[in-house]
Amino acid sequence: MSKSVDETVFDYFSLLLQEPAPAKTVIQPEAKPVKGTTSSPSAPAVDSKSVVDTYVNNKPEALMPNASTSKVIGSRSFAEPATQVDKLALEKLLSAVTQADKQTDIQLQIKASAKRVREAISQTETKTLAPSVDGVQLQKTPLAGKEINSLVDIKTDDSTLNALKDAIIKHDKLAEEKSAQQLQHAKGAIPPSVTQNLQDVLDDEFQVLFFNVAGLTLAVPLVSLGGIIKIDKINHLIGRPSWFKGVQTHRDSKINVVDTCAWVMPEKYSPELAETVNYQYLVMLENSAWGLTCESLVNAVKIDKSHVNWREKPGKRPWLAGVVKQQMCGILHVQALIEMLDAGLGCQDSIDRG
Amino acid sequence: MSDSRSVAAVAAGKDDAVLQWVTFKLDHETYGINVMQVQEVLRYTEIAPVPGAPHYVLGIINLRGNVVTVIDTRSRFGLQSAELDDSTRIVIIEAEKQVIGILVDSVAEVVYLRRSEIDNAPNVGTEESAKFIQGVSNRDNELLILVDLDKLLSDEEWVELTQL
Repeated sequence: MSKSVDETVFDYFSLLLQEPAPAKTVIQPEAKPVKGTTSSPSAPAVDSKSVVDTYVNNKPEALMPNASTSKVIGSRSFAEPATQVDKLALEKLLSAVTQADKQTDIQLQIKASAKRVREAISQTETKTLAPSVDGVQLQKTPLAGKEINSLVDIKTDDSTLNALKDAIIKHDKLAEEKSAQQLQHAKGAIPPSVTQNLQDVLDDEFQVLFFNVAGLTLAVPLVSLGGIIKIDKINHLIGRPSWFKGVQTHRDSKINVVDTCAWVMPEKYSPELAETVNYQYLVMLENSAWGLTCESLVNAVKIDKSHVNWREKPGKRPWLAGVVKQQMCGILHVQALIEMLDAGLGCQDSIDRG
Repeated sequence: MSDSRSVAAVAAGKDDAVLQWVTFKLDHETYGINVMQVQEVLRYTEIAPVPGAPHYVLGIINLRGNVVTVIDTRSRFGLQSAELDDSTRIVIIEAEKQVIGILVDSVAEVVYLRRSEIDNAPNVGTEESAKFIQGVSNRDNELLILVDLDKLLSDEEWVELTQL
């Protein structure tokens, strides 16, 4: 008589819970990406070493996390998949050693390669300490051919094994990062950093001015603030977009006045809303001729860089540098905003940043 | 040495020529047109509508025996129409070798502007009317918008006017 589904599932999870702790470490997902000797940085070195030692000693059964449990429950069909998963993980983990195992005489390999391995270790230690990624990239090929040999040599020298493993992990990680960056740059998908130029000019703690527009609060870093001017007579210029409110003369200069509400949220800017908005001030953008209209100035406060959720990827709104977490308001990327305004672009128009 | 300086000064003076502009009001804004293109300024007189005329044409007037087409400047500039009053004027201008009249709210004065005092208008306009503005100038803390009358109508529209 077969068990019910509930009973089967319950038994399955009970078995999982009863798995011995050391076995779990072997089948952890972090250990899966390990190929050859390039084990995952997060994988404990001791485990990898014990695995290799055990496999070299031709005792793979000992690596099975629930080998004994499987025997006990051997008659139960649901225990089989877990064992298979373990095998797969183990095969990946030991793939390099498996190749070595195929060779007719491992001991001969150990002796013959011992010298070369030590040379590789010494080279690796010196090269991986160098900051240059290029140097790391150059050493990858010769090391790859010696991975098996270095693993085999582990049995004879634990300290050199750890050094070699660390070096390989480090140089692989750097090489992967570099290749990923190169790929991104080649595609042009992600510029180095969209707000990096802004972040560079800001201190760790910097001041921002908060201002209100039709219920929306925006922040502008004080380093990007060109000034605050009381709105006077704004001269309407024909043939301009609706967000271009006009030109206001100020001393001997002319200020291009942006209807902030119309620019930032054109989809919500209805004639009714336009009636209710009462602009009082112009927030000048750096040294440009552009001024953003605002209804009220809230305050200027110091905030920490880390309190801003900076935008990392280009998006539809390059003018938005990020979000101030505490006030939950957008912080302006003034340079990008000026670029867009100079180009006559609206909030949702795309900008070609070259 | 002094000769070269004077030559440079003359050249600079030529570059920075003084231009005269007739200013008029339209929807509370002050516009300027080159005085050389203005023939005369008339008080509002009855304008006879022309059937089938383009929407920017108000009609025609009889100016001492000559028929002059009057343009609806507000409509052309994308502004809302307004009631006529005592200060409404028809400015007779010459552009593209044609004499036409433009209806304005009022005519203000003639101003003198150096070329160096004229700035480019913000280049953010994409509409047809954006090209009418050839520059802006800050005068007595007031903005003067300078209109290029030749661009008030397109080439096709100028031709169309002759066929009215």
